[in-house]
Amino acid sequence: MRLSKHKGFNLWTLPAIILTAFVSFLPFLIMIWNSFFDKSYTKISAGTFIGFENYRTAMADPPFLGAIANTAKIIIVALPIEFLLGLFIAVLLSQHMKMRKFVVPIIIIPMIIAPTVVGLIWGLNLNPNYGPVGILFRNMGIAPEGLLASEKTALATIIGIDIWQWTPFMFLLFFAGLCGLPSAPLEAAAVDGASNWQVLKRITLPGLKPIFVTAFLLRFTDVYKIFDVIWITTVGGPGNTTESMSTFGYRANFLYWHIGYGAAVVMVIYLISELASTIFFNLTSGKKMENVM
Amino acid sequence: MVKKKTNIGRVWGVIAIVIIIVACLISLVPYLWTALSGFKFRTDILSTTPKIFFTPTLDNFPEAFIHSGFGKFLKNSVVVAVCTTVLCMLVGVPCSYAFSRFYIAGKKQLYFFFLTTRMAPGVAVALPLYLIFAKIGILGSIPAVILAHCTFIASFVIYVMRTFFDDIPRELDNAALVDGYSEWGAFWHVIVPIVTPGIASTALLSFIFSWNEMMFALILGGANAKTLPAAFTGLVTPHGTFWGQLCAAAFVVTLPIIILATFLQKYLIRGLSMGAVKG
Repeated sequence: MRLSKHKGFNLWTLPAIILTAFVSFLPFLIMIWNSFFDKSYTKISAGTFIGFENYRTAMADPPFLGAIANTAKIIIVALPIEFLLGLFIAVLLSQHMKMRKFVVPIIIIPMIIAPTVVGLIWGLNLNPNYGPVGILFRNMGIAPEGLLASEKTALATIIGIDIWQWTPFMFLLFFAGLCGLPSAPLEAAAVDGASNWQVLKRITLPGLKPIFVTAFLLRFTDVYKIFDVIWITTVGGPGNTTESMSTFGYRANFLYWHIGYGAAVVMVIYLISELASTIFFNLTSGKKMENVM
Repeated sequence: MVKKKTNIGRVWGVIAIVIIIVACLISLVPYLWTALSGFKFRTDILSTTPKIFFTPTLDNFPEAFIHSGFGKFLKNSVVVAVCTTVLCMLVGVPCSYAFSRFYIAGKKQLYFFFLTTRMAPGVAVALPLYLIFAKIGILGSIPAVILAHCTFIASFVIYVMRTFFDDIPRELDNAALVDGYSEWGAFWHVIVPIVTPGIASTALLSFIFSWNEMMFALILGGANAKTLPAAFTGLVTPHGTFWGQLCAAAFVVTLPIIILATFLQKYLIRGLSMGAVKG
């Protein structure tokens, strides 16, 4: 095999390195730098160095801790449901392959349209006065002021919307995985007279395991940043009941312009997610993180 | 006994089909309701008994796209998504080919450099970008939004394209080199034609990601350069005066994506799974 030797900075990689350095890496470094300073909009360049003070403030800030808790709730409830529902529908459809041509494009609509439109769709549909779903719930006596407007139901509703939006993602990955499984073991099992359930448990699901890990990880690295749908429908309210880590970070940075504090908050979010996905990945597979992400 | 089993099988089959159809309806109906509202008069949208049958109108479209400025945002969306895709593909594809093929000093560190940028939440780089763009004077312009979209799309291209290049046997490159092609020639004339489906898949998703993105467009685009998805913020209120226009705009912003995804379905899966699932 012939391998050319190249320095790290060559014409193949240099444009990408320059672009990424400018739009991602430099901003990231600036953010880390800012997180150690007492900066706000009125004193962007004049902030004083305060060490880890911003981090200390963040970790003792009830609204931020609340936002972490809300995000954790969304992840813990939504992810398993999306996973199971997606798998269930994928398995069902894999037994009715003739339907795939029109079923797949329809099922994936929620996940391919812009998240802001998803927010708009549910803002309209859940309106208690003229939205069909909202009227339904109001007539059942649940949250007459609107599911998204009630402190009791708002977070559950956001979770519901996330499930509506992202179950198709799980479905699509699992369905593709099912279609890609080798057919020989399945045929052998059929010859041996194995029941559908046995085939599913012994052959199909173990065959899908690598995709389970990928799907969970990809979904996790996406959902912890949840922002768009919340920002469109509830803006974190009512109260702080639907405030997520990202909406909190956005508020600190772009509404209050607490630049130093906002940077520390965002750093904490980043570290939490890095930690969680590394732990999850090490638990589920022997491979190194960078091989999947 | 055998007959009984097939009967049960048939019942299960019917139940499965019903469940699949219900799943389709759950996905489709809320979207359809919103899209249809774009063709409704205000009184029909705000009617307390939801109207399935109504007198359609096209008034919302000129209202939204000419009077309310959604036309400008639509144009921004097209320019931003196209430019982001082209830029990220141009710099990303050769880079991921180099990662797949060459021995590069510091390759692991470099790769890690690209991947850390993927994990960072958008809000992490948004403020520093805001400050940088303000300093160099492009804040609130289309190039600012395009560059911001590159923060996550460039690394996506590099990562996913690499899995496509890794699938191609190296013997092909070597044969081309033996035939007298330069490295660049081998890449361009031999490898690129083979990897075209991968390029199509990656470009399609890059376009969709950029088209759908909201936070960067909102913060860095400002009033002049924001894209359609960002234009919806702040307008979805319970008292919603603008539902007709919003739904019309939502219909226009989603229709091309749904059409693209329907016809290029098989190209979606590989990219969406970051190359892990070969659809």
